[in-house]
Amino acid sequence: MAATPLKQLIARQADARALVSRVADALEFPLTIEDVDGRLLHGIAALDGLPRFPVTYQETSTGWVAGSERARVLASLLDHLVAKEAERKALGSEVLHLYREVNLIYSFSEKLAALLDLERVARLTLQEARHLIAATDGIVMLLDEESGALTMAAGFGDVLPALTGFRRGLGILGAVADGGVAEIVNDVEQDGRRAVQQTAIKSLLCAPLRVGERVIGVIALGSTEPSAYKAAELKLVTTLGLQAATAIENARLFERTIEAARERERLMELHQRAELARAKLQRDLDLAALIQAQLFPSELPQVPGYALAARNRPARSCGGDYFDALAFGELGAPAHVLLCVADVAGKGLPAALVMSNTQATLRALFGRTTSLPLLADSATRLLYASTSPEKYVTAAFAELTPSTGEVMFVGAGHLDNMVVKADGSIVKLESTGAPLGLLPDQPPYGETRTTLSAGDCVVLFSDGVTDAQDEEGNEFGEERLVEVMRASAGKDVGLIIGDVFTAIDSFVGTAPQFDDITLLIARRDALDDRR
Amino acid sequence: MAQTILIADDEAHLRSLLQQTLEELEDEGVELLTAANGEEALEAIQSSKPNLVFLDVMMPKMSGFDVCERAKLGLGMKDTYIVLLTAKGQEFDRQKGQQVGADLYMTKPFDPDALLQKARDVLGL
Repeated sequence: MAATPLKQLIARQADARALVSRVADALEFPLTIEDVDGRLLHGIAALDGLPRFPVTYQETSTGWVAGSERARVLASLLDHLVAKEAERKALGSEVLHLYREVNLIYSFSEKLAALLDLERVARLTLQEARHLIAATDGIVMLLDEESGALTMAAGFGDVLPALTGFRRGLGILGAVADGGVAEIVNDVEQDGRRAVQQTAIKSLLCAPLRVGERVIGVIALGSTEPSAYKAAELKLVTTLGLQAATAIENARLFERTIEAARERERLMELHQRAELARAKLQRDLDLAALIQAQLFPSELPQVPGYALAARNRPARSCGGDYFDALAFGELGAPAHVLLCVADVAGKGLPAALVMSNTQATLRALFGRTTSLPLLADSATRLLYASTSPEKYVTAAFAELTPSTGEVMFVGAGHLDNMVVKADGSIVKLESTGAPLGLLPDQPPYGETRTTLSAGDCVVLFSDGVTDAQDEEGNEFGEERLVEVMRASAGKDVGLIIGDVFTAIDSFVGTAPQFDDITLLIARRDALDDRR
Repeated sequence: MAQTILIADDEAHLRSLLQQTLEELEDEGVELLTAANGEEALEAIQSSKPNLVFLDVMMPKMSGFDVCERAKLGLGMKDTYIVLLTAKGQEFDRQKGQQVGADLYMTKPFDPDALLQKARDVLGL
């Protein structure tokens, strides 16, 4: 059982006890001090009938002094001492309470520093607040800047956590979120701002969670019992709230940093995978280009009395153009020479695949067909059957009889090629039928004939030569080709081809090569060229 | 047998606050003793053999460190639980406290609830 103020004073305060003894002695009369229940605190038991005087504290009797009439003065002294002692204890309580608060804030700060999880921060804040503030309910809500909605991050109790639909400006909590000023509402029923008409909460403490000027949420403690929350408690909640706000903001920043880092990692991984895929594709293309290069003749046939040269340059790694030159008859003195330039519709890898099919078909036919038009007929049927409808091949075939200089020309939908005569005049070699592989029932191919004299050139080329465009869209055209041919007339045929490519390149300038370029020249030697 | 707690601090108001914190134990039969300096503290430890001692580190005549060392190492009083109280919190002081055999080191302002709970734990109440 707790001791009464008088008992505590006499029993525990040695200096009070000593003072009382000295006063009692000075009064020269045996004095007795008794507890409120009559138990002896000091002196010897009093006899009945002696005057007794009460010692009171806050209008309640806390004991008796008995003895003589003089005992009254001792009672007054004891009244004073008891009051003073009570005052000292009250002061002590105040100090101890502040010690508790200070320690709470220290410990809260330390615990907070270890947390980067938003919900845990919110929970810890409510937990710590409850150590010193009586509350049946509590809630921490976070504000969505854009929508103004307040959503719960942590809560305890039956009433507050169950509330929904709070937003900035709505209800007491919403008012604090809006104004950024903490409030005590000790009579919630009477407050016109309350959002819920009937609520079990009787008293409320609410403080904003602020980072600088920005309100990021609210913390509230409430009670279903009528409570009188004090200013000191609001201060404490506000302080805890401020620290929590910073920690929550840090937690969010941390989360965003982690998310940004993860995103970067994802993007890097995607990039790496894309890079690997691209590199593999490039390797495949390089390989295809290598294979395709081997499909072209590595050497043009030696034809006495004639000079042959050819070059192909695809627009991409692989191209849809093709050239060929085959000699029939005696090695070193062929009876016939077959020249060909072909162009698949399109470019790049798909065209290259069709081109390799075309090359195989033509090569297979070259040795077996005696007549060039019949060769074209067979080729078109075979290619129609083996390629899709939109894939077709234009081709220019020229069969040369070296001994006479006669040239038989078959053009399968190809652009006009030409013979450039020694005097610079032009003989056009026009198309004599449809492109190979275009029509299911191709009418027979026609032919044209011409004869080469000394110094005349058969020039077979693809539309990549004449269609080459500069940045403004101007085309190189047939005229420019003829000009170069005339200007380079006496040179070695290989050099002439070089001159044409150089002319095309300087004409197009910085514009990228749009189509595959192929050129094949066969010139009958001038009389003084013959070896 | 009645258990005893000794409170040793040169500042009267702190002795008073510590007493007030442990007051409810008095109602449970614990005796609270006080000392105002290091010498008095050591004497009280020797004569009353308290179960628990709260020693302020900064005291005249003998520091809390010295009292602790004499009691624990000199007199071999292993059963006396000694808590050192200090306004400083430096690691250096903590280590020194360990060296002289202190059982616990608390910084001021002390946490009243933690202090009372520690007393209960040590005394088994």
